[in-house]
Amino acid sequence: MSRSLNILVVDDDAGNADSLAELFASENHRVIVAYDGQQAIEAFSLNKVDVGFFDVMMPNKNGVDSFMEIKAKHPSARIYFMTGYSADDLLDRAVKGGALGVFSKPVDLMRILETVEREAA
Amino acid sequence: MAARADTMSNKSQGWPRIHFVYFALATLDVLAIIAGLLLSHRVITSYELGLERTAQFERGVNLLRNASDLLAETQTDVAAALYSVNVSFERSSFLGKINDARGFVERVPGELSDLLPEKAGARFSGLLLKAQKSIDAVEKNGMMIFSRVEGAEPHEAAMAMRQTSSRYVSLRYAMRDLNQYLVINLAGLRQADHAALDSLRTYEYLLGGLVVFIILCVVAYGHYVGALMKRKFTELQLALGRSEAAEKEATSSAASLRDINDEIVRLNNDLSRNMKALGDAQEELVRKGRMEQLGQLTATIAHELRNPLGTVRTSAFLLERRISGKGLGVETQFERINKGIVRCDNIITQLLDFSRTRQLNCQSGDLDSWLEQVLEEESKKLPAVVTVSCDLGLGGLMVPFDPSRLQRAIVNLLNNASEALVGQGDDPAKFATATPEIHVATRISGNGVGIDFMDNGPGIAADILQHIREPLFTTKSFGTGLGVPAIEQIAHQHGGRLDISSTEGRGATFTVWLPMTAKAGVAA
Repeated sequence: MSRSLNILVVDDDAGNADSLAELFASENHRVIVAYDGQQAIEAFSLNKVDVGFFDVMMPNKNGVDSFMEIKAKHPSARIYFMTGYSADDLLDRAVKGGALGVFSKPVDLMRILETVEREAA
Repeated sequence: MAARADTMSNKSQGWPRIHFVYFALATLDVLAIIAGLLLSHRVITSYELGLERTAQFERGVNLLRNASDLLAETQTDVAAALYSVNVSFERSSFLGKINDARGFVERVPGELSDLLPEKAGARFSGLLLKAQKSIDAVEKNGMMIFSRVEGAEPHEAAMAMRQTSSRYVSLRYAMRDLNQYLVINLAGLRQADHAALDSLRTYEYLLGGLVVFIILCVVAYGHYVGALMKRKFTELQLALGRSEAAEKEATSSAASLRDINDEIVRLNNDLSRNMKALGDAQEELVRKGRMEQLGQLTATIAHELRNPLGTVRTSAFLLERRISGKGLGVETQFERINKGIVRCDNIITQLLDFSRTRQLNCQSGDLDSWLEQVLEEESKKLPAVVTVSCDLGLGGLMVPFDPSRLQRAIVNLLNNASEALVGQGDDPAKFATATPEIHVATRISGNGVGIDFMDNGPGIAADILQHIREPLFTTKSFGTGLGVPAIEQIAHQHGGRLDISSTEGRGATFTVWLPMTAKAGVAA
């Protein structure tokens, strides 16, 4: 039996963020939602996050910049990216900085659930 | 041209003067030769005349000498008469000799007639007459002695004999005078001849001098003409040299003109080439500008559409989970929703593939190994009925390529082939063949590598083949018309190209050509 995770979903698209949060919640995980990069950093500092799913293009602070900041404070942070199109430069930076993977939007739900399952194992 | 004018003026002024001098010298020469001939003729004539005269004189003198001898002998005849027994014989001998002597003397004037000058002639005639009279006197005296002897008058005969001596003395003197006169005259004539020869010799000297002068003139003039000709020749040579130099200069000028002309032609060609390149670059810039705009637009649309698509997909998924197993019979609807989402996503992906202008991120890699992996992964996404086989022949060759971009090209190529073979793959009635097959092969050719995608589908009609590379051209009810342009775009971005060949009814082959060496600064 897999354990329950603290999952951070970051997306400026509220529909996306909320529906994914609902999906993970339906799998018995605790979900925190952030709607921009800045909120993601705050959420990370206030909560214990097991795994994060970050959108790339967001207002205030993009997903990769916030990821880099978080990674600097919490080197063990496990974070995946989701993107509507491949913003290669940013994603390259993220992958080099320790991002665990990239999901194309619309996200393949089976794959993302498998990933979460693996993280929980 | 100046050199040629020089030569012309020399020809018109220099040469006639030479001709005139030559003509004068030749005339003088001819005159000298004629004078020489005349002079030698005169010399010969004078010499012959002298010889003739001498002979005449000698003949005259001989005649006189003969006459004198005969007359001397007559004295013996006369003396013999006194004691002769045959007086008549002595008398006839005497008369014969007297007559012969007279005959000799008479012939002398005939021999010398034209030799003696008139005055001398008269003197000679006088002396001749005196001699003839002496002969007559001797004859008369002799005849008187002979008649006395025959008349037997010895006393009278002896008296006559005493007179005989004086008669012969007179005769001897007369003959001597005549002889002396002739000798003197001969000497005078010889002197005159010598004088004439002397004067001829003077002429000879003059003529000799003239000839020497002419020869000197000819030599001097020859020297002058030689020098002149040498100068003319030198001038001519110089002129020729100048002309040759001018010709050379003209030739080299022509050559350099030709070079300049060639250069201008070359520059013109360069210019038109540059203009064309500029035009192409401008078009390319415009195209790039449009492509960039399209890229930005597509990126924005992709981002904006994929978020709601994600929301729809997740929400539908959650909804499906909540109501599943409740016998509501909405499974088909959920499947439609999901397929619609996939289709929308594919359209967005194709748009992104085509409009992407970002520089390639090429890395050298083992193309065959990479391709094998991609084909394995992507062929799973094709309808199950489609078989994908491959024959990879690069033998681990390292080729520079952008994996994510080339993967998009391969996905598009596989999808195109699959759609040509089985459409959406859901209706076997629409399958082009019962054994739909895609064969992928790699090969090296020249400086590039080719990746062939061959299918055994219906092939492409010629009129469609003509337009297949145009964006938005599609024959499918579900296509965007950006698949082939996107593949071509990716091939171009790699510095390669896309070849398409097909015969209707016999499948189609799409070949992506990639260069073996990376293209610098690749962008769309």
